[in-house]
Amino acid sequence: MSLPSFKTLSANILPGLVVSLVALPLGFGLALASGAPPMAGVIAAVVGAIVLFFLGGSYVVISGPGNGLVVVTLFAISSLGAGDALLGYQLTLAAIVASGGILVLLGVFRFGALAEFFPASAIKGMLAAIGLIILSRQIHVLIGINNPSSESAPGLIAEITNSVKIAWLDKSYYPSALLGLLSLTLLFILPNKGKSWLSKIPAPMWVISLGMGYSYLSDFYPHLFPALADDHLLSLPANLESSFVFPNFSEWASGGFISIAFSLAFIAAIESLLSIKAVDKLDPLHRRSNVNKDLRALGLATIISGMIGGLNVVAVIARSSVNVNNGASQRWSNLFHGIFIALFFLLFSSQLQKIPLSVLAAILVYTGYKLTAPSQFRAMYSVGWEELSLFVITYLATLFTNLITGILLGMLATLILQLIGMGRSTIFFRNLLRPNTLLYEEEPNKYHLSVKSFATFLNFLRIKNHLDTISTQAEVIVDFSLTTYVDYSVLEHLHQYKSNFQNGGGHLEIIGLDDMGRSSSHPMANRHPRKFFEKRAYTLTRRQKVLRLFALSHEYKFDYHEIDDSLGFQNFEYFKFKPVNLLRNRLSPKGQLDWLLADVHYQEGDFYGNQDLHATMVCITLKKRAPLFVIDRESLLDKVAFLAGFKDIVFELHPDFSKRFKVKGDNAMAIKRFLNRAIINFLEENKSYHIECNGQALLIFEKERNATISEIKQMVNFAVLFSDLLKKVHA
Amino acid sequence: MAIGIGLSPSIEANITEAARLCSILGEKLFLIHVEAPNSQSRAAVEELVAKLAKSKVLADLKHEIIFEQGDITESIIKVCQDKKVDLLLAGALPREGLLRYYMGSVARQLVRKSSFSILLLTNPQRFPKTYSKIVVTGNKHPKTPDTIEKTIQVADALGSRKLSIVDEVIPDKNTKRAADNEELERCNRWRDIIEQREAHRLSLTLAQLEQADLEIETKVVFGKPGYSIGHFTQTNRAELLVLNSPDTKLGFMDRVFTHDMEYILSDLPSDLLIIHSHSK
Repeated sequence: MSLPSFKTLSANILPGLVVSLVALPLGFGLALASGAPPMAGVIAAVVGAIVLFFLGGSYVVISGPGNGLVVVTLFAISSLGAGDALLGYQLTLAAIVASGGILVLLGVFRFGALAEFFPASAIKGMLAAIGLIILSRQIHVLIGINNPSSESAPGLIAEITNSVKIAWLDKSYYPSALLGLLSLTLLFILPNKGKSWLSKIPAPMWVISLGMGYSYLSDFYPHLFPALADDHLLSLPANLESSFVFPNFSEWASGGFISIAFSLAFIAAIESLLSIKAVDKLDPLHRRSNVNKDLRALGLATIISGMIGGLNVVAVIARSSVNVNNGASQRWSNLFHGIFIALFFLLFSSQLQKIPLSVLAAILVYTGYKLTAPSQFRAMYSVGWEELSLFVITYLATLFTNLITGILLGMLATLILQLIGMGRSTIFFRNLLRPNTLLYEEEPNKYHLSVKSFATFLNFLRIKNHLDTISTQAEVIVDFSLTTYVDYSVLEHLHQYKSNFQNGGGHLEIIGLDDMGRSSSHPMANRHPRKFFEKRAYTLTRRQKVLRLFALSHEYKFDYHEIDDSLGFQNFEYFKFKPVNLLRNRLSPKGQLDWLLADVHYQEGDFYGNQDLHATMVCITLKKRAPLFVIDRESLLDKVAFLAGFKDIVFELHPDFSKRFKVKGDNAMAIKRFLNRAIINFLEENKSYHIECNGQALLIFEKERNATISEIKQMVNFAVLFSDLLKKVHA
Repeated sequence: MAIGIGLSPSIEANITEAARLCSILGEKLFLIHVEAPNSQSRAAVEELVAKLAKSKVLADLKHEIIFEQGDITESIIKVCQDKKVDLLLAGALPREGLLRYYMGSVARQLVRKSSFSILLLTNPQRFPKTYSKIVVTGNKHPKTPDTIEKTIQVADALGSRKLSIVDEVIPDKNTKRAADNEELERCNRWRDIIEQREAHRLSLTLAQLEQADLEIETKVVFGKPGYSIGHFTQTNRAELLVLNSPDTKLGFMDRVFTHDMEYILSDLPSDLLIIHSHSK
């Protein structure tokens, strides 16, 4: 147990206070939406805050009752209680305790990567469905109908017109409904008000003040402001002792109980893990949370919370981002948020009873709407129709069945769609159980992570395990050139890693995606083997876009089209037994073609078993004929077969150069004349490349793979200087 | 040296390659052909070898053609034992269909059953192939020093320029877990220690060996043994991969639960040389 330092204490009091202002109404609201007494949410928030402060593995994450669990808890209370709400709640508490135990086990066995095992679009679909389920129920409470008759989301939506009719005909619903609608409007408007004084206090607190203000006004001016009925107001237990409910374990062996416990644990784990990961990106100090430690702490907090009548404790994103926005830097803010909630509750419990339920419902409708808003669908559509359809499949499956079945169906659909997308499913079955990844240190602090065959949500964990062991200060190249299929989940997770590395001062670059087909122009769209009709119409990858910008700013020409090797790469000895197929991503100066950089696609091998290879190379044209030679760094190997017989040429006048480079060729005299002092000095000063001359042109490259953007910039710089120098020296 | 040949599209390239390697590394080449009962393959093979013998390919080389009948793998192994062959060559497809994989092709059967060194040729070419990059295993194993020694001899004879010694380390608790910054630091510390230890071990091994004109680099890779070295060979475009011979005879269950060498056999990244050596 490592406690945060006391130095950070004072800076974290204010964020704790602000978060508690959001968390208190949400705690009441989420508990009511779950069908539990309002106290349950408060207990979960306070217990979570204390336990996570001592045992948590994250820094700025806030814990408390979560959105996702509303659906499961509601179902649990109604199904376990079979009509008896109190008994149902006691049995559910037992399931909550059990789910806490499962969470502890997940943490102990290091299942922190669980959230990454599910396809991203299926998880998003499930969350959106949860949003709709919450919204569909709370919209009735918002206009004053506390107990709609339907259970399922589709039924509840169909019932809306009915509820509106009831509220319309009965005047006693008017104040409640008006307050609810006004609150909802405020919730939508206030966050968009920018940095005005209104946004200093979180919107939910404004709404709560509005509701409480109305209640007080109606006490004084009952004619102007008709009083709200008692069942439209929050009701809290009269004294503290009676606010705790204790679990009833009598049903522990029944199938329903066990499946509910597992559902609670599963949803709690997924929601927490996603939140922690998202909050880590916001952390101003760029620390990495220990998710396993957090899972253990959340599990323990859930057990304690369940034992005294509280809901599941999960890590939550919205409250955490409020926390970060207000300057939190340590777990102190989480502790203070718990303390403030407890204080509010103890000091103002009679005032809190003035809160109208419809106002709390408005907060929940707003939360639900944000999860299921049309913008979520649009965002998925921009990634591609495949992802949108998976999203919708999971969404509908979750609405019409339950959360677990929903996400499993979404996973199955993803799998089927990917198998079709891969073209040849043997790639999948053959490589599913293989490691498929290789990480090694190319140079000190520069890592190469090569991925083979395919990369989808199913085997992303292998990539993740490798990436996690690299310090974020390092440079990493993730190379997909040996894969045939890369899915959205993988690219999305890698995108998160990219920002982690950027924050840590390192760099992560993805290469090898340029040649795959894709379903949309979105940077994270699925990559699949290119189909015949995709040959021409395709969109640029990030690498290509950056190259285009680079070309623009330096007034070079950039052309990403595939063209035949019209420039004579094939004429170099290096390509003697390697047929060049095409060139792509060419960079060259405007006007005269002094040099040209391109990704060269060539083949190795003769009969079958041809290997398609790609490498970034530069070709510099020479004005005058030059002798044939090859220059190579001492540590690079001789790549050219025809020179195997030739001896190294020693430059007596340049011993350092001779030591660092190997020069080979047939005509030693001519080569020494060509490589004069100026050129040798230039080569010594700059980065060493493999340089080959075929008489009319020079071929320059470093590695036999596609270069990264920074490598390309270096190469272009080298080519420009070298070609200028050659023009000057051999004019 | 010996090569097993069957009538396949690559027979000519395989013989050419074998002849070239034999002229560099060995003395005499045995061409072994196992006939299927009642087929005309014998005549075809004889005709082809006669044609090659006249051309440059086999002209300057001592060679002998042997015909056998019966089970292909066992006959080849029997001939090799009779003739005291040092190195057996065989052509192999880089990848095979699933059924074939579990049944085992001739080339792979040879690897699994034989007790002498084997070179599998994956990418036969009509023109001479250069073996400029070679990857050899550096795993901690009694056979490794001998394998590295023989690899350096082969690399020298083939005129290779770069030898990568890849040492695969199975990540354990300390080198795998990196859930937060503390664990990450510990993991990197452990990795550094292991890397230094392994580099030291390999440098001791290398110090005892005769150095050829060869650039030698050692890489410590944390990953599944067997798989990682194959993937490394592929990403580094090496032309030859050298491995220790398996300690036990590989059976059907090893293919079902793929491990170590079976990873490489099921997806050959390059030519594969398996050196059979008895640990000293």
